[in-house]
Amino acid sequence: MMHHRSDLAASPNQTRLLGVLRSSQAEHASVAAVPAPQGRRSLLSYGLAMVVLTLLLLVLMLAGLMLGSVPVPAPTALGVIINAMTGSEIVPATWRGVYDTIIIETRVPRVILAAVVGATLAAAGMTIQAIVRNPLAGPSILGVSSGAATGAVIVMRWGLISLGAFTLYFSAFAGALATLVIVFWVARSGGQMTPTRLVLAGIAMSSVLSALTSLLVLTSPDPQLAARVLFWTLGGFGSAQWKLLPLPIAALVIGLGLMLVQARRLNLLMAGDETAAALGLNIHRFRQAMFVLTAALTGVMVAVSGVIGFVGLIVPHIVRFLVGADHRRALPAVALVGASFTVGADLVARTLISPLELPVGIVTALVGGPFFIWLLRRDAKSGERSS
Amino acid sequence: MSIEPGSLSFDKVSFAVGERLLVRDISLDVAPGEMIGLLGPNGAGKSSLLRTIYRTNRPSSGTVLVNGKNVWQQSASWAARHVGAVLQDMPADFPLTVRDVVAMGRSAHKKLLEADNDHDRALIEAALELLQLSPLQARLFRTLSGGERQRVLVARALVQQPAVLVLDEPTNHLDIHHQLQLLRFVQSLGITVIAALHDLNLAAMFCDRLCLLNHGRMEALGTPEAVLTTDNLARVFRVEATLTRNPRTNSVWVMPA
Amino acid sequence: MIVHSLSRSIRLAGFLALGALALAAPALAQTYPVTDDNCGVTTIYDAPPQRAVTLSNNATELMLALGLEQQMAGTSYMANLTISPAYAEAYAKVPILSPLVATTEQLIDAEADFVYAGYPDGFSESRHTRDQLHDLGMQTRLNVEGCNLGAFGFPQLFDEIRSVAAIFGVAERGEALIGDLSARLDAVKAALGDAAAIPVFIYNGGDTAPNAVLGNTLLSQAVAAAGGENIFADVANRYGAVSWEQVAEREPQYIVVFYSGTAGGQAVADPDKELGQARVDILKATPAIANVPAVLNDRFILVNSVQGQPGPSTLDAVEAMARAFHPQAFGQ
Repeated sequence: MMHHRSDLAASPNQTRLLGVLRSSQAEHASVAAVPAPQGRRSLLSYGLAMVVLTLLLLVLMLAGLMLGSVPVPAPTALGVIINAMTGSEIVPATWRGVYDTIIIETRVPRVILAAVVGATLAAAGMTIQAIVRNPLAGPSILGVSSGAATGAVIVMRWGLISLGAFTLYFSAFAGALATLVIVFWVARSGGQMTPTRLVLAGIAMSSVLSALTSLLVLTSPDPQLAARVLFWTLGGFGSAQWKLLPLPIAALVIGLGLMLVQARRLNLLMAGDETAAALGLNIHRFRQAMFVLTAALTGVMVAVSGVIGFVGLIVPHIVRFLVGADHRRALPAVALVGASFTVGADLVARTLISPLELPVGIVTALVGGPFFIWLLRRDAKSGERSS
Repeated sequence: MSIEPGSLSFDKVSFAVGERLLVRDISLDVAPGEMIGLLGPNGAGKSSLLRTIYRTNRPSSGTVLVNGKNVWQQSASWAARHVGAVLQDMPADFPLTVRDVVAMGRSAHKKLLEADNDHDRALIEAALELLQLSPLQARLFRTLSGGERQRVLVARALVQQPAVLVLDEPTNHLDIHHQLQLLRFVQSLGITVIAALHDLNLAAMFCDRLCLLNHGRMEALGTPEAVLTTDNLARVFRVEATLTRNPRTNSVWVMPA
Repeated sequence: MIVHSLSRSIRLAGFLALGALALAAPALAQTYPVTDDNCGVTTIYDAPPQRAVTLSNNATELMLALGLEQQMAGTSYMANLTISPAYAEAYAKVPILSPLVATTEQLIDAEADFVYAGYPDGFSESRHTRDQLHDLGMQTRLNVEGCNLGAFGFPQLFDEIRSVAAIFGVAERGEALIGDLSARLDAVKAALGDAAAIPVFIYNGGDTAPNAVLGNTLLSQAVAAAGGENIFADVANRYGAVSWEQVAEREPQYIVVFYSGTAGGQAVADPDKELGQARVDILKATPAIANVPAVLNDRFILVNSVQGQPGPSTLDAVEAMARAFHPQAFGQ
């Protein structure tokens, strides 16, 4: 008795297409293949985009090695780099030995740190935007940046732990993680974590912690406190050292890897909770897991470089514009563009008023702020049109 | 995995938010290939009941079975491989293309890191073509009209290759031509369909059986003729109606007065 | 990592060169190694540093006052302020690396083996940490005022001089400098006799709320040595925002206008005018303190950070302030 009312005679083409839709993987070969020229072409242009973005990053990193507060002649800088990369003296080292030290001990770790921090923050930002389903969010809304500064201040003020050179970096990370636990606890209700609660909890924690940090600094008799805390609020790559690099690099590799593994699921988050659940995602558990991942990544980066604003906010937009919103394609690209953004910003910070340096956070805010405002205005306009 | 009509059963399903019972003790068996319509006034519990199938509302008591298995005891991806849902709309905060949105339907079929293969692409292409979306596939989802969006969401549900298709007010954004087109199309798929519908006459035209809900309770269940009675309409919708027949399809026709 | 192993070999070469220098250095009266416990960092000096770089003006003057210009590879952070005439000649012999704090690259370029900061922000994560510089083969010292948690007076300044002198193996020059500075302090004290201390406000900028120099600073003690009493000496901190009402209530007879050479992190061209005199103008234009004796009688004295921060020139400030506070005691 089923479908007795079906008065629409299926066209032959419709029957064929329904056949395709009913086909299993095994039967696929026997069904008339449907060409997918669209997919192929965009794949090619995606490959091209990735090559261009990689080259851009390499050029910026190279420029980062050539420029600094001490002018090193370009051929010398190149010679140092070539010799270091090949491990032998291919270019006769006729220059002063200090140029080796300047480039290898300060510029290389600095450029690498900038790239790693930029890549991680941008990828974390893209994921956060999917988690809270709001393209205008960034890692800083999680409150972990403020948490890092507070952690550093508390340890400096009362000297709670001593891990030598790593003490403050570790305490900044601990502060970020503690904040994450509180935000997580506040944002969760009945096993669910809604985007709105997450954003509000993060903002509230940020405000409280910033105030707490100021209070601790203002009431502390320690003269160094204010100067050192400034680092975590303004950010910078000036204190980069080789020995500080393994942790952030490991965080980037593991973090980006996990995000790529979950890229399809991140896509589902963009479609809203209900749709994501209908498409097979255990939404609350997944959101919580990704929140912990991104917050931990942000915590590591803030610990080693302070707060570098706007990277995680605007780079994902640029990347979605370039390669689309599909995380499988966008995540690798966002890491490259994020790295280029911070390496470039650091370059500007070092050279704009050379030999003096600007805090890199000022440069990213000067570039990122107006871009963000433009985004808001554009969104407002398109909102007006569509409503 | 292929599209084979599946069975759907609600066994004493209730769903509450806090103290408020939105769905009360619903038992209903839907046979494979059957198309069943949920009717009821606003707030009757139609959407709440549908959400218990696609794992958004976990029943406070009772079970929802698809192909004899409790969807809430299976994995989320198992559920998505068996149940496709077409919701009223989808948030469009991100610049997703039509193709991106349709491709999402394949997620539950893929392992972590597994790339789309020719089969996935063939399914996506077929669904796009079937819903006449091929020319729109590179367009951003958020730039589409309400009707176009609805077709995209149907295409996405199809590439899930579901045994049961859930439609929540699918005709909301559509003009009458597209309403008819969509329901005819869904009917032609031959899979099990459960749809919340506003339009009583469309429901009567396309559904094998109707289920009338009010205040979360099932008020009537049966053929359109058995459910769309003047008594039921007066009691549940609080309208006086005259019943007649659609001269072309011979289905029940409700004329409110 | 290839890059890293190369860097190690460079570092090793640096250490070898340092060792060779140490062997070549002439025998000194003082015995090495010298152990320097400084702000939580212990450094062992096997030989006096030969290429010291200073990161602030007071650190520069302290080194020059010990006659160490031959062992200095550079100075930084004078920020367009004027060096004391006593050290101008020696100062000119040492390269100026930067008007602000020298960067890590500049320190490496100068082949520094010892880096001396006079301000608490000389070493920080924003520029270079002490640990980072140690890894680059540079030893470091921070003027203890930079990590001092309590009051900081002339005995602490003298300890600082002793410590730096010990690192460079010139203990006797340190004692001579301390003797000289002590004698000048005593001379001021003698001249003041039993003149009563006058209330003094030490102003460090700010218009809606004044930033005051508080009780834990050497400048507060310098005011006391000059026959004044810092009206905020009771606040056990270095700097902090107070209110104009409190300044008015405490009725300072004199206002010391303290200023550095930078604004917003950048050096200004003419700090005496743009920062010093500008602050006097703010004070004169603030209605809340219009009836304070110091303002009514136009009693302001400018003290820049070269003199106000702990260093040998702080004595110049003491003498100048004493003459200003108590002109009759100096026969004026």
